[in-house]
Amino acid sequence: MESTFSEALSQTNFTFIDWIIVGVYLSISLIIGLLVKRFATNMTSYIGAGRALGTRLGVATLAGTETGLVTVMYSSQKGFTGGFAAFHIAIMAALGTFIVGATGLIVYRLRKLKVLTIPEYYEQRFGRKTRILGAVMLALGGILNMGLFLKVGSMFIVGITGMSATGWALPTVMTVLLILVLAYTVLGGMISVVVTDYIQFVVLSIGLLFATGLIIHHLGWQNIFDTVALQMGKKGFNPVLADGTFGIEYIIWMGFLGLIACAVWPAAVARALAMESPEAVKVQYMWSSVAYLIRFLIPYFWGIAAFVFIFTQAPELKLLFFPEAGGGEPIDNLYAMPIFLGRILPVGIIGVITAAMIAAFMSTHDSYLLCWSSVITQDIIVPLSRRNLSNAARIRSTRIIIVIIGAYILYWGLVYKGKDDIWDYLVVTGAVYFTGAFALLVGGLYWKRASSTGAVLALLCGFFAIFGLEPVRNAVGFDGLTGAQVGLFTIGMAFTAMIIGSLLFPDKDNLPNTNNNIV
Amino acid sequence: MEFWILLWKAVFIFAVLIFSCMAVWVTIGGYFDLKKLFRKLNDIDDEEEEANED
Repeated sequence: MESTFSEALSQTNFTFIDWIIVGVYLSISLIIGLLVKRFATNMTSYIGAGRALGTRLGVATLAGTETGLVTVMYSSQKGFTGGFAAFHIAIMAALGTFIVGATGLIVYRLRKLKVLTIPEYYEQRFGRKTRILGAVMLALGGILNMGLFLKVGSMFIVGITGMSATGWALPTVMTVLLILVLAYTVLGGMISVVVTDYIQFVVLSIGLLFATGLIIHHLGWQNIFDTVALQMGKKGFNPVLADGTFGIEYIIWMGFLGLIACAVWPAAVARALAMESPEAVKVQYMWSSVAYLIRFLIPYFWGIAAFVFIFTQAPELKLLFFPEAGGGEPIDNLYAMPIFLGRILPVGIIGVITAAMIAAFMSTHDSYLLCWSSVITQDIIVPLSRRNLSNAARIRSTRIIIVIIGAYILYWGLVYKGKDDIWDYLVVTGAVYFTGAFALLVGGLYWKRASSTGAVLALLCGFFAIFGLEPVRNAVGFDGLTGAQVGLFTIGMAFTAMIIGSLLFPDKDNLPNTNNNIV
Repeated sequence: MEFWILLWKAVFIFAVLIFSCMAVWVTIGGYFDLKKLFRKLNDIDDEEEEANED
């Protein structure tokens, strides 16, 4: 099976010319990181780009951050396994982002308070202990969430370039990509992140649209729908079917996610907090809803196209991804889309698409690394430190933590063996943080009686979300539950804890900075 | 099933068209926003240098 797989990978159109295109792009990114280094002189500039982002740049950086190579990979996997029915996730994400933009839910008020991070708001509203606990939950959920980014991104590079998927290739690609992204995140902070996000937006937009056009030209528009109908039946189109891939519970869970992924997720909120005004945040989110739609929709389509290609034009791949009974374990379906692109895109174009994907990989990694490391510095180390840390010390601490997180994601990518779809893994690990944080932010910003005890209890409820992970569910005997059920239950718990905790244990009047809330 | 096929076709075409327009707007406008950002960061830099000299 392994030799057949290596043979399948080697049939890519990726050539030396494409490597040159990728090399030139990576060099430009590194040079930019070096050029903008001089602006990162204080923490507001280093992690908030001086709060000077205009609307269009804000849209580009939000879209750039949230459209990573990992997004493209997990979405194509969902399209590959779920067909067009997966499109409902994209619609939920776009609707959620538009609603947040139109109403300003959470982000408008946070920007108005001029905080640099979400836990900083926790302290203003609920006190220092809540800030530290909130930051710990955020960093835990966020870093765990990021654990598979490197591996999945590297799988794309291996798949599309035709390297051997076994042995040295994957860990080597992971290490090289990690060193690149660490180098310029450490150097430039948010300013270099914003600039590379912008370049990524431009390159990726062209790449996504162009490759989609080529795919449709290669497979035929109607043929794609007909093949899915033939192979998957109703399940490939109708997300509501009880015996399908998704179902009502999953759709509700995605609806909730669509709302909070942009309103509470720190990497997205960091863009809102870097905008030039609270009003600009609303416009930024309304426009970004289009990017939130497309960042899922096009990769779903690519995954579906890979499925169609395998069933109609590549019988040898069909045996690898869908082996007959007794034919051994199927190949990881994450490889389906990159192998497919490697076969249909022509020389040159494949280099540009790969460069665009590496751009997506780097812009997401730098943003996330900066986000979690700045939270650990600003919201855990600084509050716990007895002396007032200088700007230089804070930037140094943030840079050291970036490198430590980088080492962790390399390790985690190599050891984690869960079998959940990557999207479901990301949702569950993210839920450790965002289920509690959503209750906390909604309570803190919109309910006068929300107390610090309620806040702490809501945050702690987030730990329950970890039972949504397949290996954990199996270990504790929860294998009858789905990740969506665990997630919805955790949200209910967090809100209940917030309300009951606040009513039973209201804050005394002398909480630090309580009068800073804008309820 | 026909309803769903029609719906996803319409959603996909609409999304690609609107994203194409947005990409042009963000690409052009983002360039001017970047220039503005660097001007502002330069000003902050100058102010800090002046404050240090004082």
